[in-house]
Amino acid sequence: MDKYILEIEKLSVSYKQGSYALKEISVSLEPNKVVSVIGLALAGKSTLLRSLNRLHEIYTGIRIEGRILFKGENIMNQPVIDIRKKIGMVFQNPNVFPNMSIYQNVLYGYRLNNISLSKAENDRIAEETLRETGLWDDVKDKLQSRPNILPHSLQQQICIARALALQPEILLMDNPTAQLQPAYINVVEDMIYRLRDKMTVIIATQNLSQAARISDYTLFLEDGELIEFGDTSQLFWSPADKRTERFIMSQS
Amino acid sequence: MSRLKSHRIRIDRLVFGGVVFCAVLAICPLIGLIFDLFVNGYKQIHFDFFIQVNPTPEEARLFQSAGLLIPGGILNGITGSFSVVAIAVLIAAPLGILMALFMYDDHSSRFSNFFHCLIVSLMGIPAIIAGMIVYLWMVEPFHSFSALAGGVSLAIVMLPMIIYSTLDALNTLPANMKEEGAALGGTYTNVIFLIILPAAKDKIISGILVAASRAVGITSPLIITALGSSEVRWNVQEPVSTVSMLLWNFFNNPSMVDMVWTTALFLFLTVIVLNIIAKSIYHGQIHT
Amino acid sequence: MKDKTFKILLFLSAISILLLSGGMLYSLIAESLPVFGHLGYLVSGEWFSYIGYTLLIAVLALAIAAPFSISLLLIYAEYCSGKMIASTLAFVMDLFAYIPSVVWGVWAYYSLRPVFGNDILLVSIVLAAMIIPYSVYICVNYIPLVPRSIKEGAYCLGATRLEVLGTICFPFMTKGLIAAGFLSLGKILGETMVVTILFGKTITSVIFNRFGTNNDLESGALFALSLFLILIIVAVNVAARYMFKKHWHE
Repeated sequence: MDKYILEIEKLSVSYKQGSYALKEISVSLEPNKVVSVIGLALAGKSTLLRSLNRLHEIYTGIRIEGRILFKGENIMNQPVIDIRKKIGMVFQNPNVFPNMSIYQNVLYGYRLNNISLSKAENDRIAEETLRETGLWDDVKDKLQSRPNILPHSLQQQICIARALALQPEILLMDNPTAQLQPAYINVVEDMIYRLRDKMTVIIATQNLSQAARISDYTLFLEDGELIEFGDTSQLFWSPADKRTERFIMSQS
Repeated sequence: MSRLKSHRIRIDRLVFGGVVFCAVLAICPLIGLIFDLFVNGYKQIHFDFFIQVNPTPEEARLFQSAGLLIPGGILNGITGSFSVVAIAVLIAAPLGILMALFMYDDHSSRFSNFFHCLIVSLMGIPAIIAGMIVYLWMVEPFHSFSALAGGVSLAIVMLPMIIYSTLDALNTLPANMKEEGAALGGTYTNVIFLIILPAAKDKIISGILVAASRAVGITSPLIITALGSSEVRWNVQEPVSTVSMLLWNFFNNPSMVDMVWTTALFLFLTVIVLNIIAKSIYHGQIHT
Repeated sequence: MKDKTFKILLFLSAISILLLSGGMLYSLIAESLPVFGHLGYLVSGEWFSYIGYTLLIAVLALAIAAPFSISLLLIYAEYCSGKMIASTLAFVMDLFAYIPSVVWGVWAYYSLRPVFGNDILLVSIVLAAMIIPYSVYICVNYIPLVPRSIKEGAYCLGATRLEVLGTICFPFMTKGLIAAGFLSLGKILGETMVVTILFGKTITSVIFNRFGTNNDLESGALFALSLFLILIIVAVNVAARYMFKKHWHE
């Protein structure tokens, strides 16, 4: 296995002519770690995450410069749908698909990719991912019902299960717990901590204590620039850059 | 101070009363219409109304002067309406949905502004003018009036409505749906067909039904494209009568007054039923 | 289906709509050409009067409908906002709006014509009755209503409902009301059956009654008139939607 699972080289993203949301970000990430991306709103956290699974491509007019290497290969050289299977994403708003059952929701990644598995396989994947997200006991007898019977927080966990079902190697999480109730935030954070064994997790978060709790490495962005990247405890307790320190102080 | 205040309150109440009065008055025509339709239209309602073709003016005059019920019915109109509207839906619905999907795609703002303007312009075209165009394109060159031509003219009228309501249905989906689907590795086509369209289908189908309910009531372009027929015809290349056209024909004949009322009642109820079905599929309002 | 195929399909549908619109415009212009050489014919009394009647009736209908539409709008949005009356009202309006114009025309002919002497007045009233639900629908759905906080502020200061309406809501909604008026005008101008049954001298009626004539000049005049009508309707619709777009972004 290569030393780094993701190498970002001088990544710049601009939505509008002349203004850059991300400015020449360069960083290398090791596998099986949890990396948190912190910074103010509009600092570029979401933009960074969306560059990693090429999500920007569904819109026109977004310019991307630089290179992103996934396991040594440029992600632009591989078919985008393969990239997105290996680099999954969880959004801030729980976007369950409303007109299908919980069971179908979780397995929809496969349906979307025209991969049909046997019923036994489907059942197994559904159960595994739902257990992973701590939902299994709550929904195991309601698998065929619509997800809107569940409260908001549980819907988010369905979305996580859905992303996990494709067994990605990297999981991108964009503020996944921002709308959850505190009890569920714990469940999700525990899950993220455990996921390290199987994959790399990159989580953008506004919640500094969350970043401190669960991540191995932390990346601090301000105004689209990478200010500091390093070991979490080191960055939090003795940040190298004054701006990092100021940010952490202001949020405490 | 209190005299001034009660003065203001009095004016407020006066205006409120005026507003309520106006509102009630505004509903009166509708009530009058429905009332008259039922009161005058019940006379010719009988089983035959639905299974026979329209009577000739001579027959009508004969029976009317004898004080008897006019024979015949509007069967040819019912089948005609059905085929013409079906043709219109078959043309306008797929085209309209595709066009809405095209506009839903991300485009530069100038591009999408242009198409929005285009659709808005198409929406304003009066039905009669659509009929003129279809006459020029389909009837004149082939010297034949037909249900097909009638259907095409209705399709031209329905198309902008369907495009707009479908586009509205797509735009009111949660913005992240496309992203979710894409993030799971779905191709553009798969995301549209497996996620977006199923989520919007209630609204889309409802919009099509509402457009069809409008099409059922359209008369003017059909007179110059489908011409009319006293027989039940299923061949779409031949002239045909719709219920709305029959209503117009009956109206032009002084001895068919009773038929006019009953046919009008029938048309009215058909439109209402279609709208109720549309509302039962989607409970909110359709933007056309 | 492959992505490329689907995108081509979408593109083709857009092209076909473009071709349809362009084709329609072309046909209309081509058919009205015979009359452009004899513009005098067109501007002669007869055809001119049709244009005049059309506009007159449309403006009259709008003027008659306006107070009623606004009253209904106020009841729905302000006076009884949120109550059952408002939603039954919306339901009734919806019902109203899709009644075929032939049905309106026939009913008005038999029931209202004996009562009214003047045809122009009758036609305007019936058109007004037809356009009221549509205009209320437009207003309700497209005019962003005044934020509650502003209204509550005014009420707290002791303003009556009327005063809140007049001084706060109306200025806020004027642009939207004007745009709604434009859209309604467009709808009225395109109406055929009612005006034909009750009056018979508007542009749409003339087209309907005389279409298929062999006289080239007359046929050309019909097409020229329809071009004129379309131009007005399109201008009015585009202006209205443009106003709404800007309004929305506020």
